[in-house]
Amino acid sequence: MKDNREIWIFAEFKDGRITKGFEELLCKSRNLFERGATVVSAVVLGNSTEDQIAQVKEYGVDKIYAVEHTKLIDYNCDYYKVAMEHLIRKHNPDIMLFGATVIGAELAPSVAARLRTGLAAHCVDITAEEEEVSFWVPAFGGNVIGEILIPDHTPQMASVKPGILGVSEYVKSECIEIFKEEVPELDHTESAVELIGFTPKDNSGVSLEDAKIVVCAGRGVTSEETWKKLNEFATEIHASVGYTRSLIDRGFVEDETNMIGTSGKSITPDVYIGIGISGATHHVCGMNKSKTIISINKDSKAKLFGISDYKVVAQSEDILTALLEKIQ
Amino acid sequence: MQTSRCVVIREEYIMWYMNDERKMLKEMVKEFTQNEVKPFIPRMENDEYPKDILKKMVEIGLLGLIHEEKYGGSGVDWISFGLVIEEIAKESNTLALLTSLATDVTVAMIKDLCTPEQVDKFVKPAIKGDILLACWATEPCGIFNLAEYETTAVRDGDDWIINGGKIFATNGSVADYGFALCKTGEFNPETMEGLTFFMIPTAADGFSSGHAEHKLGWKGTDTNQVYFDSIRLSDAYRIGPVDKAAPVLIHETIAGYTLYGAFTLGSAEGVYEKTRKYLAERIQNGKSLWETHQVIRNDMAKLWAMIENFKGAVYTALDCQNKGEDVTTKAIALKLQGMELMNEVSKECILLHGGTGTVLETDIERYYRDSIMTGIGCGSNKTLVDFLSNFI
Amino acid sequence: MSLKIGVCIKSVPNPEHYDRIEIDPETKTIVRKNMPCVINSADKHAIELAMQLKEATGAEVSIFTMAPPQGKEQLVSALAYGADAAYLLSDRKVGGADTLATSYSLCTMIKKVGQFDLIIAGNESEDGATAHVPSQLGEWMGMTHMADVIHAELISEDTINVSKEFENGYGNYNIKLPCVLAVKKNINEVRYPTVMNMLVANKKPLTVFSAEDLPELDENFIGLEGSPTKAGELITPEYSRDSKSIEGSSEEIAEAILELVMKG
Repeated sequence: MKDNREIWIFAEFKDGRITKGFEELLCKSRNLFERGATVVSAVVLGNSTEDQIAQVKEYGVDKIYAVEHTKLIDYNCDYYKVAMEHLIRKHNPDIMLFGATVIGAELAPSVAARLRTGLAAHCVDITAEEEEVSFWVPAFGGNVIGEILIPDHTPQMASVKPGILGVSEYVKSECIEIFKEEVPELDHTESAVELIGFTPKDNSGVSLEDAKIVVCAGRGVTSEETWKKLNEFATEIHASVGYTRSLIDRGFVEDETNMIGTSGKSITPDVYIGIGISGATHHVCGMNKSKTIISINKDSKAKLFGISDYKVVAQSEDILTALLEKIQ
Repeated sequence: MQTSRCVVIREEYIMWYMNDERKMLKEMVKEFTQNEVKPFIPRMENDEYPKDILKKMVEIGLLGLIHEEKYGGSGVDWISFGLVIEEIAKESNTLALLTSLATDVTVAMIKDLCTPEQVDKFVKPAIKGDILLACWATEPCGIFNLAEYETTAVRDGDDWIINGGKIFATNGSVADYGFALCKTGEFNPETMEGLTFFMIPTAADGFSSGHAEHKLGWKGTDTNQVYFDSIRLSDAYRIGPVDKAAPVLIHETIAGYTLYGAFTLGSAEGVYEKTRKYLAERIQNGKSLWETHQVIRNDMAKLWAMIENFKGAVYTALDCQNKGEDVTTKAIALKLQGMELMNEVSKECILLHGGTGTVLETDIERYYRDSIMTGIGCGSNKTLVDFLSNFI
Repeated sequence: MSLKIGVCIKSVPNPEHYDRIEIDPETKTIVRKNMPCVINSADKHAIELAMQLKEATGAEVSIFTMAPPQGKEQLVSALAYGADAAYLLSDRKVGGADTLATSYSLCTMIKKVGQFDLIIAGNESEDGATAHVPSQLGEWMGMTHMADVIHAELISEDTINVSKEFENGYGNYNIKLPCVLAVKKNINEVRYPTVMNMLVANKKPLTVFSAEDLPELDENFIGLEGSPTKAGELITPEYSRDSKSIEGSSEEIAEAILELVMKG
């Protein structure tokens, strides 16, 4: 039995707020090992980390490792990976976790390569049997889940998409140690990447990951009219709207921002309403943890019905019209 | 879902004529057909001419396949050409027809008859897709009834005056030029002399086209009547020697029947595959129709056997064309049998679908309607049968 | 400018068959029989970007892959888009590699072939979907790398302007070459290989390397030995719930749905 195994979590912030994935990883870290003590720490990088440290403290981690440097003001992989490598080499955590966000999905493999260690990507779960940790990753569009082991290298690294693990009860630490670290290598590192500008996306409304109710459009939504009604209905019930790739192909939406599936977002709303969704595995992987699943499809053999709590075999257009009439 | 695993991936690639290049070509055309052609089909069925699709095909080199590089073609052989046509026909018999006609069969007809100036003016631009060429032959008396053709070309100094008209003129209102078979002398049934090709610009004075026919099938092709009212053309618009056009028309039209074989084969395969998939996925009482009805499996097995056998015949003929052999009888046989095959397969597939087979949205009945057209276009099967009997 | 561009592609089992994937109960691995392979779709977008840059600047485009011998087919398909040369690393010794070992092997092969200004790959593969290889390749090559790229344009001989898609917006950057770019599928529309290019694809130079041909390969970093991550169990997940049917007229159904939504 190892004493004081240490698990690190990279604390990612978006628009100044800590991302949802952090608490999920923290909860998982606290509950991963049944016996023995686990130290759970957060890593914070930035130009000025006071506010970030304060946010992380709320979650009751045991330690916080922070690096402050002007070069860390905005995310730049060239600098962030240097800082992470320094911290890890110095302190030797056993496990290093990242949210599988855009940043995490780039930073984690870079750090893993520099440390010549193993990294499990986009895990759907992490489990431990005594000291052996298993990382469960989807493959072949989610049709297969594979177990990844990293027996001979440390830290064992993994990334998990926000929204996959969910949050349950976990122990919060009373006493938090904060380490402010210097990374002299940063002074000698010059990135070949120059930030020219950042254009925010128009993400008005509740984000998909945080929404309590999600209405999702699939291939069965063939007309602009139906798509419009779907959006109207969602607005009326204060739901967020998600979609599958078909909507992008049809030209109803521009990009993958609210696409739900293995290549898109994972959601765990209280209510999921699938409209015209066939239920291909790669989509199901992104929403199967929803509390209540209602699906509407004119095709009685739609796969989604197999994982729905409530199924409606009907024309989406008709049901949406009726729903709008009832509400308005 | 044991049933859906039973949808067999046909081992098309082990056919004797398949090689790596043809496999790549087939894959590319398959992707193109799924992504570009299939979505356009409802518009074609609304009689919209697939101008943009044909344009894209030119860019990729899918038109002008058969022509030598010196003309700007891809210099591909007949078997590869057949493969392209077969693959397109799986989704759209109409587009497969247009592809055969658009630059290949039409240009093939006149390529060797053209002077170098005419090659530059008509052949190369047609292959490049800069101009659309049509071939107008049929008259009210019937395409093969050459003796009774009424469209005339009369010498007037260095020019010719064209009078008359053509019916069932494909691309009559969209073509830039159409080469028409015109009477220039007394028709001699033995030598077939007396008719000459003339390239008629649709912009010419005296040219007009009538209304586009609404047809049973091959929707989206522009089938028109064209009228020649004293059109004056210089001798530069005469294609080939005077009086000697008819044998070329007949010969090339018949040579093009191997492509009829390819697209009737492709469409038969297309409607068969769609039906096979449907039968595997249509669940009644927890099992698929395929699993529960032996009659259905037997019917499909018969269709499959017919299709497989026909495939061999199509590619044998194409192979003969590659070798420069005369394929007159083989080609006619393919056109005759191809229509029968496509008609039989599509009819059975509608019946196997049951009610949904008759619904336009299911998109199965289109194959049946198009099958009838294959028995009439470019020479009626009813006439060809008689023609074939001369050879047996 | 005579830029040298390398494109890394992966040969993956055709995604159309993923719904029917089976696991062999004895070997506990995927049954690969009857699973034809294709070029990973994101990599096609990488090839398209390379071709656009080639057309704009006259660059030389080389395609790289590490695969069993059948991977040659995918390389020929890649050449059919108009690329100039292709390279395959195929050897049992490099097989069974995880992303770290794979990117190391690719790096060794690329360095053997020449000095590249730009390396492009698809962001992630359809089968493994780790999205690691381009970043790790960049690390092994000692090159700057950037993932999630949705726009790339050369603005001078040694600088490329790149847009990267984040969850909440788009970052625009100038990157000094050489660099590795991992592109997303929405960066461009892949062209159809022209018939002409298909006919000449087989005649373009295609080099096959075995491990022997690359003595620079350090045995500690290749294949199973060089893979810190090891594969354990494989399971096919079953997602199922008992579903109740909501029936009736559209109005009745609408009422029932709204009730469920209010209940939360």
